[in-house]
Amino acid sequence: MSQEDAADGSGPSENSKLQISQSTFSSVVTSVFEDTMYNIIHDVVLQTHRSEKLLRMQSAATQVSMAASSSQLQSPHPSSETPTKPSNSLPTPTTAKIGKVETPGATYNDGLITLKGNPLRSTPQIYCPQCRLPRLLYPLSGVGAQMPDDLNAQYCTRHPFVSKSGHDVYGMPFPTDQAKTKKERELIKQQARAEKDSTPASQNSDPQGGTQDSESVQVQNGINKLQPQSKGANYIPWHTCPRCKRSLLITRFAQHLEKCLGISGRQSSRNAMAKLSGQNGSMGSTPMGSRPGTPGPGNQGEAKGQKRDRDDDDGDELEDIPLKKVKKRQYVKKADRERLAAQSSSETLANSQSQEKLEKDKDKNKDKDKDKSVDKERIVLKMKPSQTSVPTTKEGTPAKRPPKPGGQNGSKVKPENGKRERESDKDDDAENTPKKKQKVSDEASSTAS
Amino acid sequence: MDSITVTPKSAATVASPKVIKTAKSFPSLTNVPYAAYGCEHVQELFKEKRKISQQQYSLLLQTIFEKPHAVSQMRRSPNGDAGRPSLLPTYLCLQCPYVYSEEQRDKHWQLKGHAFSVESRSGYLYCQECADFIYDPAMEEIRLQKGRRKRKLDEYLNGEDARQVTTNSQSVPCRANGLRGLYNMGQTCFMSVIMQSLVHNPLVRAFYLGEGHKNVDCEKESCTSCAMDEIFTEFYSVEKTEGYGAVNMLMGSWNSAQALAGYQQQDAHEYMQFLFHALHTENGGTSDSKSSCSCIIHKTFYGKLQSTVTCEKCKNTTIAYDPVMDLSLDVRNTAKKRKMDKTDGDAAQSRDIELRDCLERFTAKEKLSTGEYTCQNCGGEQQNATKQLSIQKLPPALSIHFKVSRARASKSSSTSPNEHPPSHIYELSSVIVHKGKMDSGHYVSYSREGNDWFMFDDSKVVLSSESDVLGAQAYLLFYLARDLD
Repeated sequence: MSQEDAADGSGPSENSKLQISQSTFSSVVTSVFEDTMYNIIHDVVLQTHRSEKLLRMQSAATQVSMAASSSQLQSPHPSSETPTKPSNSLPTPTTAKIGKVETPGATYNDGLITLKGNPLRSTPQIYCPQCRLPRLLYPLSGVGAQMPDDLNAQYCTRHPFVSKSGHDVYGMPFPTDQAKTKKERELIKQQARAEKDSTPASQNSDPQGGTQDSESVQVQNGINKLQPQSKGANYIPWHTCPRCKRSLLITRFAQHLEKCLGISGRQSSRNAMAKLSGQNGSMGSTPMGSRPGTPGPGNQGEAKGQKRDRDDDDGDELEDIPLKKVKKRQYVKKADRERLAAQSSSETLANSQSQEKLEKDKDKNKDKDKDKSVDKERIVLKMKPSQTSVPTTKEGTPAKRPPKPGGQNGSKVKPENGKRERESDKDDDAENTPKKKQKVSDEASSTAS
Repeated sequence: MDSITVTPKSAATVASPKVIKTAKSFPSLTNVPYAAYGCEHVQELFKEKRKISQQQYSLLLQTIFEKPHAVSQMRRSPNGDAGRPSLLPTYLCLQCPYVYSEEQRDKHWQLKGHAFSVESRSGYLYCQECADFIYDPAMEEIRLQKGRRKRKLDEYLNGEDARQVTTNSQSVPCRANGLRGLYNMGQTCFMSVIMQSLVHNPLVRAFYLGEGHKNVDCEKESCTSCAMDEIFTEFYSVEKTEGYGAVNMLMGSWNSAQALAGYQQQDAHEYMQFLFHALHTENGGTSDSKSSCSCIIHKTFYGKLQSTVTCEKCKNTTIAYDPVMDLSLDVRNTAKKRKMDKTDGDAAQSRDIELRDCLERFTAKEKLSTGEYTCQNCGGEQQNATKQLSIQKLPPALSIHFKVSRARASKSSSTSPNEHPPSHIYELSSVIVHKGKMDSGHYVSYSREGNDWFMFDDSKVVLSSESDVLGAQAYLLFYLARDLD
């Protein structure tokens, strides 16, 4: 832009004048350069000026309308303003019914708000026009952080963005450990709760403790209060798979979905073929696979589901005996399981062994201090390869069935809890792996038979 | 313009007791209070000469923005010392036809008492009595339209409509500003970066937040557009700051694109192509290639490429037009070429590639080898030919894809392609960066909101600086036209 200016402006006139002496030329260049710099600064400053002044204008208007609405509260009169936060309004002289209200920055007159003076001077505080609370002017932490004057005041939840390493723009720390089990998370929650309970109490008990500690605690509390309630970047949610209704850690979702949709694995190519030859619709047969996930206790449905589900699996070795019931652990009744067990007792030998080991581990685990979540985690991980949900069921109910045919399935077959499973958010890793196995077995059955 | 004056009043009339009733549950948040005038002095001015001042302002703005800069930069004053153009900002008096420098402006105020003048670089209004620039709502409205007439659409939101909106809408939480991360669901960062770029594209955002695609009305199963709608809702109307798990988007994508499905890394550009296609079909896009599609994706991202093939024998030219979603620029060849050009240039220098060079190369003439082209004119024989691409129509949102993500692209923050009279000047809006090796790695993206840049790395959102963005090794660039007509 500025270059264009140069071309449009002084450029031609100077150039057309034949010769320019060295000194003239350098002075022209200097002046063009300086003017251009001036323009750039002019533009930037003006842009900032505009955004700031607009904010202040808005803010002045907000303040006066708050004042107006509080005055209208006292003298009920139909008006556009509804009472919002009268506490925030400045002490203002109010005139009678029509409601002419004045604040240092603006005048409210029957719905019309006009400015008084320059809002950059008259209105230092920024008020949010929506929630009508003051805005924080500085971030609470990180670069340029500054504590608000009044820690107890309520502020608009739109804070200045935080620029602090290891934290996001809202000042929330980044997740350190991606995968946490439910127990771990609960533990953390408990601790947090405990802290919360303890600190405010102490604060109340000695409001003027005078010690540095209590002061800093107070500040910290103030900050905590200012931080809008939110889960923070540390939080990794669980999500229910729309297809099979299992609850999964979001970070594992793609992995799960792959299996769940039957995309990967040996069977996937077959699926694709089937889809192509069958319906051409975008929804082939796969979606039906999800149906079995819905709680329908019918055996048929299950079997169907099993087959479908199974296709994703590939890598693992096949089991000798097709375990039909296995697949959806939710629905396998105990009786069924037993039957299955009988059927496939041979097959499960190996499995049962592993399960026993697992159980042992688990017991050990139990003995250990509950708080040692690390241990727990380790154990859970261990289980993964062979077992699944057993560990994740209620603590009180470890693997209750004897290692049985279901062996593997055992894991899958989540006994009593079965139905509830989908809602319960449980460790998903556990789920994934087991599922795989089962599917394999299913598949084996279907292909074999 | 009258409509503008009406607005404050209508806001007041809306204020029937009825409104208060509905507002009780949700304190009249929709009635955002605002100052009616930029300052007391402009208020005075409007009392008497509202219409004429606004007309005058429009005229001056048209002079500033549409006539050559020399006109507004040329100082003119009644005592005749005209003819000195200035590079510095000048001030066009609102009340008389003269143009002053800053000092002259102040003098003119003392002499004549003309309190308002228009700054020549951006058209801001200066008030002598405030000794400050003022931003009067009505005048700003005119300024933002550069003094031209109102666009038709702007007229719609008046009177009854405005009332409807005020009474039936709730404002979103102050904190919902669209800055949220997207959880990595397991190698889904290719998806996250594309999502973030779309979420921060104002045109796409306007479409979805304007209920362009209603989740409720959509019958399609695992519809990516519904998933998109859901993301927009989550990002812009929920007071949450933690990441979001775009589960439905993932499912929708996988269900409709077999090639992209599966737990593995994907190319972000490929995914973008897929997604654009999917959104196009789900938002009433026509599959007819002849008629131009009016879906949001086409309106926003699609330009038109003209490829001209000239037969070397008979000089017959054939012209074909292709809609393009993005410009895929070959980075490597340009780098080579540059290296040859200046063999003694230091290595670091030659690794920096100018976007301009890529574009030039993209639109350069290119020889087609025999066998690639069959000339109709020469009796259907295969002939040597040259092919040249040129951009026939530029989209409002231009995306540029670098075929090789190796090299560092140093970009200017605005570029005006010179193939055709530049119909748009673009500003950078999003950058997608690939880190790591060709076949594995990680994507992060940068997007601009207002003047702030943010970096999105899965669920993490951090502030970034313009220099960081410009220094990043870009894989995909998204530019936005500065002005839309």
